[in-house]
Amino acid sequence: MKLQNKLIFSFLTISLVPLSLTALLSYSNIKEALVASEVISLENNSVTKENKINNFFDSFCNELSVVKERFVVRNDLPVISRLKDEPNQPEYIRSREIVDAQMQVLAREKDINSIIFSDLNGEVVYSTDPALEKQSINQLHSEEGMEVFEKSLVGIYLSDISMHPEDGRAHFLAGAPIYDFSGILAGVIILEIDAENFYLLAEDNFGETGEAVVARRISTAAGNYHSYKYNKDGDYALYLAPLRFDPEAAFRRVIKIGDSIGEPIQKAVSGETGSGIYTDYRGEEVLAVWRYLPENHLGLVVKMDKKELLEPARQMALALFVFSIVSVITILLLALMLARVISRPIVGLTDIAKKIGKGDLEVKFDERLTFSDDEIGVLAKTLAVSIANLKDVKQNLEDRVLLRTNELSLENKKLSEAKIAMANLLEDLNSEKEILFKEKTRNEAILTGIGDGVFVLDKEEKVILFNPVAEKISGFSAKEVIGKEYSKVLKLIFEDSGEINDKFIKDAMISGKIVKMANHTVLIKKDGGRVPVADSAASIKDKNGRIFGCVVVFRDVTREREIDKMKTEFVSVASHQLRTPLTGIKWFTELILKTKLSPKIKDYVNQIAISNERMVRLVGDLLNVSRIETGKKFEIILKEVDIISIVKNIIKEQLSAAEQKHISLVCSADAPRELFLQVDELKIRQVFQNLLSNAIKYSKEKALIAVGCQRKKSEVVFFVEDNGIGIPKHQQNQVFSKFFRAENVMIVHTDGTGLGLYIVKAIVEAHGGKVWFESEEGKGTTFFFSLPIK
Amino acid sequence: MSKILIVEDDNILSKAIETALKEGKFKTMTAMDGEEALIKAREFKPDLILLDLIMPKKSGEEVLEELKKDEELKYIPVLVTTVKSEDASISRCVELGARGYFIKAQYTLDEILEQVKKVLAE
Repeated sequence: MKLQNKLIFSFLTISLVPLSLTALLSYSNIKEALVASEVISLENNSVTKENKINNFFDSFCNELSVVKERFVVRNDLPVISRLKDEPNQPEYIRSREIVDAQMQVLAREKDINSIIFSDLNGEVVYSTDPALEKQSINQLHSEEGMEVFEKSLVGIYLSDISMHPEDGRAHFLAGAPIYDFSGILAGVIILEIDAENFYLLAEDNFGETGEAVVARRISTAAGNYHSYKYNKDGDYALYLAPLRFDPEAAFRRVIKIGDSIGEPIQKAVSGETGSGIYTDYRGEEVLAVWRYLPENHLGLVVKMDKKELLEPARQMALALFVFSIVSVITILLLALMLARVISRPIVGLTDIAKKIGKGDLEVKFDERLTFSDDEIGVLAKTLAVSIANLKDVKQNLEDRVLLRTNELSLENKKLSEAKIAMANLLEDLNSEKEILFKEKTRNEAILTGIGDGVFVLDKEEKVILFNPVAEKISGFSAKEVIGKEYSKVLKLIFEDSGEINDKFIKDAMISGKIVKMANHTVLIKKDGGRVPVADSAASIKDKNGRIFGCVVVFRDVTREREIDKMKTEFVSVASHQLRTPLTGIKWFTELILKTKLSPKIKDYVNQIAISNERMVRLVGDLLNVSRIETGKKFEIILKEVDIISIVKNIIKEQLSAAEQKHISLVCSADAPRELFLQVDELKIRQVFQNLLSNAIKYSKEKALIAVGCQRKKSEVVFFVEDNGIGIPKHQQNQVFSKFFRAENVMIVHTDGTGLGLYIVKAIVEAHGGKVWFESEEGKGTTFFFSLPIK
Repeated sequence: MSKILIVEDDNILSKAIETALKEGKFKTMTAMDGEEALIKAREFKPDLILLDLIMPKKSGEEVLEELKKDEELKYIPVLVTTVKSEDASISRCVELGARGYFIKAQYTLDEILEQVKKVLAE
């Protein structure tokens, strides 16, 4: 709810609530007051009325008491009574005249209908109304009259007011005994008085609805003879005077005792006195005051309609209501004004706040707001200050944002350029990807089709490809291997030591070269079985030459090994078989040559020996070669030996052969005294033997052959130098081939198998060294070989 | 006069060696297989044994091993003369205590005789 409305509502509540309460209180107080005062008024009224009524009846009693003592009455009335049958008697006539004169006057004066004088028998002897004479009272006034007559004989007696049955007029009778001057009771005087005066007396209408009501109780139970007249059985209150609202009610209208209407009159005739609000004979609510008049057996009620009674209250209520309406409107207007006045500054501030909330910091503060010295002023001032600060901050921020925005837009530009570049790159990549995919599928097909086992490792040595042959050899399925580090699944070990052989893979990954698996590598299959394998690992490089993995090719060489074994066995067996007979020939020719022989025979036997020797050497070379070729690769048994002593040894051995051709064999001067290297002694011996024997073979007479070595940083280079026939240039590339002999060997008439250098190369390379030569045909040859220093 | 035991299963070669040794004024005895070699060695206690490797019943290496285990026989110098030229074979024999290893086809009888004399002289 808006503040203004709240204020209005509050004002209204604050003012109207007391107002309403006051009004209500006033109203009820007024009502009470009215009732109370009216009660008093009514009571007063009723008291007055009672007095009046009593006075009324008392006046007649007084009158009667006066009248009955009148001389005329005491004197003449008895005369009339005595002479009732002699109306002509002058006494009678004279008495009659006197009485009549007085009585008529009296009647006129006191508004008496008739005055009668009855004798002791109840016969009317005189009446102001002659018509009434000569009748009995009974006849005239029935039971009522008789009662009055009897009671009047004794004293003054007033009858109750009753209705004359014939003419329907209400009257009452007043009687008194008449004593003549001798003190004898002469008769009774009865006045018939019209109740009209009584009515006038009784009637007392006041206000709009106020009236006095007189009634008498009639009761068949009480033996009240009047009841018969009215044909009512039971107890009733009979209205004796006309009612304001029922002029014909006199002696006609009754209220049954016990009825729910007309309670006041019921109470009054029952002897009660009191006041209260009840319903009257009409059924209207009235405030009534009731009393019982015991002298006359009358019930008197003075009442007023509650409505009329409370009319002032009602009017007041109305006035109050109007007043309230007016007040409300006034208050409303005042409240509106006040509320507006109070809330305006707040609303003003609220508007400002709203504007600020929307982001508009350029709000103007009304002077009235900021300069008022109440809390609103404080608020306004504080707000103004805060706004000013905010503005500064905002400005500051805006500046910074601007700066940053500039920076960002620059960055953004760069980024979008980068993005475009990326998009282009992506396109390229995508097309590359397609190509690669095609290649990949092709490669996979190839790899699947290859007859050897292939597996490919990535940089982390995890298997990324494992072809069907690899599966077959290893017993592992590709699924079991792919994604895992190969070393965890595929165990490649050295056959003898059982140690893991992963060097060749590691070397390939680092060096980028093809590295052969070491001999006697064994793969442990899934079922634990061992299978000898061979081949190599090669690194895989990307477009830029970076190594990103390696591919390992291997095959089950069990069969090869078997074949090798068979070959070796064959060689072994063959060599035994061959060498034995050759030795036999060698030795027996030796023995033959020791005997005396003719020169011709000796010559022939020599030829046999020479040929045999060639065969022996051939067998020896063939054995070597076949050992090289079975892949046993010369198991190099490395031992630290003094090469120099080996060289010297071999020179000594070859000395005799050299001497035959008068060749000098020397060890070069700058060779060290000793040189220890890790070599296979027997095989290195063979190297020197071959090189030296070649040098000797291919040198002419009286040549010089030098052997020497040079120590380098990581190797030692040995040389065997001759100045023999040299090697023709166009054949130099074949020198190390199997069974090669140069064209020019015929010059020196030697024989040879052509295997020596092949063996030398194999041995040197098995040590990790190199062998080469320099040669010029006709000038000489120098063979070099290097051995690494380990 | 020195006694030399010739262990050789080929009788032609055996004959040749025997002839050469006899000319060298040595007393010789022969054995055709490994078992016979040991029996004869124990019996005659030669001054030197020429031992072939490839033989029936017991191989030369086994004979050599047993000779060197035997208290009485281990001091007898043994020269291995064989057609086997495998390095494994050679080193084995050297390990077992052979004084020399000669590949038969590569040596003349004179050369072998010289070696015998040399060894006996030590």
